[in-house]
Amino acid sequence: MAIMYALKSSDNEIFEVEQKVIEQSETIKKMIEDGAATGEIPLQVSSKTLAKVLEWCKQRQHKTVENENDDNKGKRKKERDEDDDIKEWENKFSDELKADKDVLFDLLLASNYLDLPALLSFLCQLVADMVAGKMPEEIRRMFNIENDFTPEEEKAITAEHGWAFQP
Amino acid sequence: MIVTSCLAFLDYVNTDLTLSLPNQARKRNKLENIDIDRLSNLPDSLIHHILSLLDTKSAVQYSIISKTWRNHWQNTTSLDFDHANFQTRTGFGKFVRHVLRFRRPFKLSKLRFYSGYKRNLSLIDATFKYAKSHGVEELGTDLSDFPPSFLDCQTLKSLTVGPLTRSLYCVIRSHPPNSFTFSSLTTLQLYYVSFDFENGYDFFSSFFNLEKLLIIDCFLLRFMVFKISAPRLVNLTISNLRFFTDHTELVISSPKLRFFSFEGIYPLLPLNVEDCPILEMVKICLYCPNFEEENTYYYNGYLISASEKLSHASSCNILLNFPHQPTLFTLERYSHSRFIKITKVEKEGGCIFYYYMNPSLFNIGRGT
Repeated sequence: MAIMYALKSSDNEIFEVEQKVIEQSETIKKMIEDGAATGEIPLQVSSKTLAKVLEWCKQRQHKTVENENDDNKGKRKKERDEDDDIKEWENKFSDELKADKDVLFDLLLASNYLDLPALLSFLCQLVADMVAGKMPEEIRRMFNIENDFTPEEEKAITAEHGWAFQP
Repeated sequence: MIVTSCLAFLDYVNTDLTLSLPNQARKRNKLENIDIDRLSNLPDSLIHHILSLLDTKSAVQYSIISKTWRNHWQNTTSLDFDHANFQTRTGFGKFVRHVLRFRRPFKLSKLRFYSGYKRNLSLIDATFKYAKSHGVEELGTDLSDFPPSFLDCQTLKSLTVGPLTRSLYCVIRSHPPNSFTFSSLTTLQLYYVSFDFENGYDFFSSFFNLEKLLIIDCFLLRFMVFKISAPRLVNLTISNLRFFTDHTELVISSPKLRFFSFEGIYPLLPLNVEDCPILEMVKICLYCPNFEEENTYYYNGYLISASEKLSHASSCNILLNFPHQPTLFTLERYSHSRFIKITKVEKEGGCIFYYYMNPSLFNIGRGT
């Protein structure tokens, strides 16, 4: 019988989660080890974001368990199929996040706060892929970043970093 | 104790306002129909993480995005230098030197340094000196000769060598002896590297802690016996290793080897496996693009010889990939399939290799 924990989102929604799933969060794992995870665990994460975080954790957990239970027989083929499944799942997950950047940023902050290294790396890579090859001006537009340099300042800083702006 | 740590945690979550603020701010702003800049509002550590995944030239150029972005690039944990992003070698050199000078002196976990065919030795020295003194753990480069002072780098765990484009300038030679002795190195990947070794030169045996070795699209230039005998090697992948002289032979002698994957194309490199007592999983994949019926005996002989040498492995999977349907052995009956698979079945006092065309049909069994 799996040990369950109740997570409470910032908007007071309760999520019942298996220990193995939620222990991927170093923050919560530490609480459990310290015996501090009694009753509902209040988290400053909205229910929408938390649901997304748990979706990720369950997928990861599923993958680890399958690998542990596998024997050698037919493993190669199975692994390949599973890798394809995971890839497909991750692609779908990424596409949703790319389409709604607010969810992406909520998830980034939550994975940082809950200390979920694998999710954090995945999301940072996703953002890196989104900005790769773009000019500063395109990035400002893409993420609504205000250019708070005066034209003179921008000119000065470009000149100062001239060694980085040579073709 | 439980109560205090619980309270401490609650304090922690309550003070973590950075998390709840953007949400509230966003709601407010949505009403005003203004999108806010959530990227710049991420904790600095996350922005540094993201910039560490980009090529360093872009990371520096992003300093003009806004005032908060101005110095972010100086805090990245990785550096990625690629000469292909610069029109001139001088421009590339100048860029690298500036970055090394202005980057804050944190640990450098990863360095990619691709300087192309034409080398600037003083730039290479400066970069590798920096990498060593900043504890580099992961290195990707198109250099095959490292500055002597770098060779005893104790922090390096993962090394990838090979050009980014398919050119042939990466050569590892046995003379002068190439003493890579990175004592912490556990992963070595070689892509498009040429080996110019004396017969039997045991290059990999000096990598005492190497666990994973990949040799992809590499060339054996002149020797007869290419030996792989790293004492702690667990995982070996060789793909498309080409050779130009007859009597060339691959000898694998690694006592800790458990996983071995070999992909090859005709002509097939003779394979010898010695002293690999704990081999678990072997996967051999052979491509036969110009298969002629008269070569049947050649493939047959190769497979039998390979399977004999690997007969102690607990699982062995040999896959032949033909562009058209061969009539190998007596397989014409099943010639609708392009794949032949050999699996090993344990029998009392020996084992049988079955050459499968697909899991439900087998053709030839061979007892040993």
